[in-house]
Amino acid sequence: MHLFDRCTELFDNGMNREVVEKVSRSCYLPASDMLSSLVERYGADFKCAFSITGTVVEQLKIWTPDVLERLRRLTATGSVELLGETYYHSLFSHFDREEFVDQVGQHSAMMKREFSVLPRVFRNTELIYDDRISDYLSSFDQFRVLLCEDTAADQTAEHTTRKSYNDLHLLLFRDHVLSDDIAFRFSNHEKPDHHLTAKTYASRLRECGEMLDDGCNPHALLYMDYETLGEHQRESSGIFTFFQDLTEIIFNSTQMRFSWPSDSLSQPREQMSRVSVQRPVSWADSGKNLSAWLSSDLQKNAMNTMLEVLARARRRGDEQILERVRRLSSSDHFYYMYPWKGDADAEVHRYFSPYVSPEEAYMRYMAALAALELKLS
Amino acid sequence: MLFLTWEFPPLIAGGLGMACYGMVRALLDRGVEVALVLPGDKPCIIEMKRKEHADLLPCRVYDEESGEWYEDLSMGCMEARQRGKCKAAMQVGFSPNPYTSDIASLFRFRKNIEKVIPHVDFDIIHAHDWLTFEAGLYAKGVTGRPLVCHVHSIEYDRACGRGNERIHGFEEIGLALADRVVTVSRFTAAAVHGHYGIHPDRIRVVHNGYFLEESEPSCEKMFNEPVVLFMGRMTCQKGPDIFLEIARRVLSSYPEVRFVMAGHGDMLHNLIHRSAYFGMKNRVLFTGFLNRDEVHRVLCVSDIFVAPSVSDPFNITVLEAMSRGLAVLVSRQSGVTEAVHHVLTADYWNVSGMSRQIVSLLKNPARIRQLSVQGKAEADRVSWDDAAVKLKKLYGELL
Repeated sequence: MHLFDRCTELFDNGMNREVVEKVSRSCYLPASDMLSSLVERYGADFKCAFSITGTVVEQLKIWTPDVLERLRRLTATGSVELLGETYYHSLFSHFDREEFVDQVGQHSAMMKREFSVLPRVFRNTELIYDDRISDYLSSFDQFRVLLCEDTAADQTAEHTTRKSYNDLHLLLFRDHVLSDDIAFRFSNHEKPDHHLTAKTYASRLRECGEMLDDGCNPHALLYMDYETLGEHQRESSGIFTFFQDLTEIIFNSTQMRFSWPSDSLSQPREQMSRVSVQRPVSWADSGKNLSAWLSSDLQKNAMNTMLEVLARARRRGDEQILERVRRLSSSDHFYYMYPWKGDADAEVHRYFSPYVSPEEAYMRYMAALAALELKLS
Repeated sequence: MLFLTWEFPPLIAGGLGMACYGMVRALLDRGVEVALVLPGDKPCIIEMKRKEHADLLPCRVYDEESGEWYEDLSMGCMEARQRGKCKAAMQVGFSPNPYTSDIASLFRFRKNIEKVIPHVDFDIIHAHDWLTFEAGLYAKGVTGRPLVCHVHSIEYDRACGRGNERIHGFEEIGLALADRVVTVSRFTAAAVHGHYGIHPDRIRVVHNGYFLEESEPSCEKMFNEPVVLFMGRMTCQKGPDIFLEIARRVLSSYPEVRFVMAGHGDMLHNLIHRSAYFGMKNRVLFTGFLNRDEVHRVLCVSDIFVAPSVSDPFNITVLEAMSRGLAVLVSRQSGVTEAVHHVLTADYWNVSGMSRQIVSLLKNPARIRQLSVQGKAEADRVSWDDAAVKLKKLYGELL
């Protein structure tokens, strides 16, 4: 919103709808159909996991309920594990334990309500992890496994399961090379003939397993945006065929199989070493830290202002306003304020942003916070 | 009268367009018929005989291919004027940018004039600011009609320094060869004399008026705390960086206040970053470019208007703010201070002084009310009609 236009609605529902419908057409519908057909063909041995925010469930409900229906059917097959996270995909793990725990609780309740599942595996927003998060999650008995970026582990043991520094959780590490091979590097724009093929990729997977064949159940955590299927990598790139072929190769192989993050719980824990992560590590940008959301002056000032407004809304106990501030706490808002010039990450921020500039994103965000402040006064 | 200007509502980037709009309406009211020519990809003439025409913009457009003129009545849709956009006007290729140093468009404008001159009758030529002077001189050369060059600002004002030498050249030649020079203030008359050596006898000062739409949107205060407003182009001429520094100082001693910075310009992003760097939370809010409707809203929710221009020939927004009952603090380097007296003034470089003035106003709401009432009464007496009377007299002298 702009501060002085006639529009009193904080969120641009027109644009939200447009984006949800567009991505549903390119990804959510065809990708869910593809996964359903794989489940149908290969049965319960085909396994995958989803992490779905409260924000997106709300929007799917309004604009593309058929997507939500497909996701429900898919999870009901028993092939899909659902993960826990914060309801609003926020950054509170870094700022406010109480709010973080609240939002995680809200998300779990929503998962129970919408999908009749209580998640056992937790992934924080954009895989942000540090030791505090394991502590904060100690109040949830259900969470036994946490996902994080492999750069959080020490170099020698990337592909093995570890324990959190306090022994409370198992940590699984995303294989960023193998994941980004698909998510970022699947289609080679310079050489269109050099698309990644399922065969090549399967051999990479096999090699990686052989390298780690030390009897500790080697695995690779492939973790990427759902939008990789059809939105970031268009259907014309052959991404759907790739996934189908890869699945076939894996099912024909004796060395490889699919597994869920929670399957790691069956591993013996005695041999596992502990990992302490003292500074937040994420999967975003080349820094793999919080810089994607909290490095520029705009981001910091916007965050401080939001925290102030949230604190006031909490004191007032006004649920309606609190809900709106929480929607403004989504990490994406800060992501759009990252400078678009100066480094290799800038282009990615620009690709995702609906705004013409980071400053425009900031101006509108601050106006929205001011409008909420008005309601609080 | 042949009226040459660079911008006219609905498409405006700054104050020149609104000034021309007010002036043209007042002249039409006084029985002066106006043929308006705007820059664009295609030559077009807007012939106005009655006041409504300033909104309807009846337009004749020249078609290069057929070599014929056709009527286009779709340019001046009132609704589009409110939104600050007009599709039809875009199609003519009209792109207002008188505040940039786009010298190439000056020659395009002159080419359009060559097409227009044989198809329009006029007794006098009135050209507004440097981009139109070249075209004005051409029209004068071809028809022998007297040329009035109207100075709304000169390069030295816009650039906060010497600026572009070539633009100096266009300004100097236009003003030297004009039959009369009109400036919007004595401040600018002195600058035109000082920089370009124009003899004071050839200069007439005609202060601007202001125009407020008749159907005003109802409005109420948005914030509980007082609001201090900057409104104008975010360019160094208008001193938005000075405003931000004032805001920073005021907030450090008087936090219960909100600053709003309305407008667009090349300094906007820099100012946004600076306010964030200072951690001013959202005590300083930016709005971006506002259309007329939004201008009304922002004036309506504000209490104090600060215009710390570095060098401002007039500054119509000060009159608009006063007429809406805002207490005004304006730099002494602004021509509008010649026309009104119930405002606070300071030199633009006196940041600490202005900050103290604002704090003392904030601590003294009775003083804000007093300035508001007196300022409104004073602004209500200013009108474009006064300017139209002076201009009509001037035209009379030349004919």
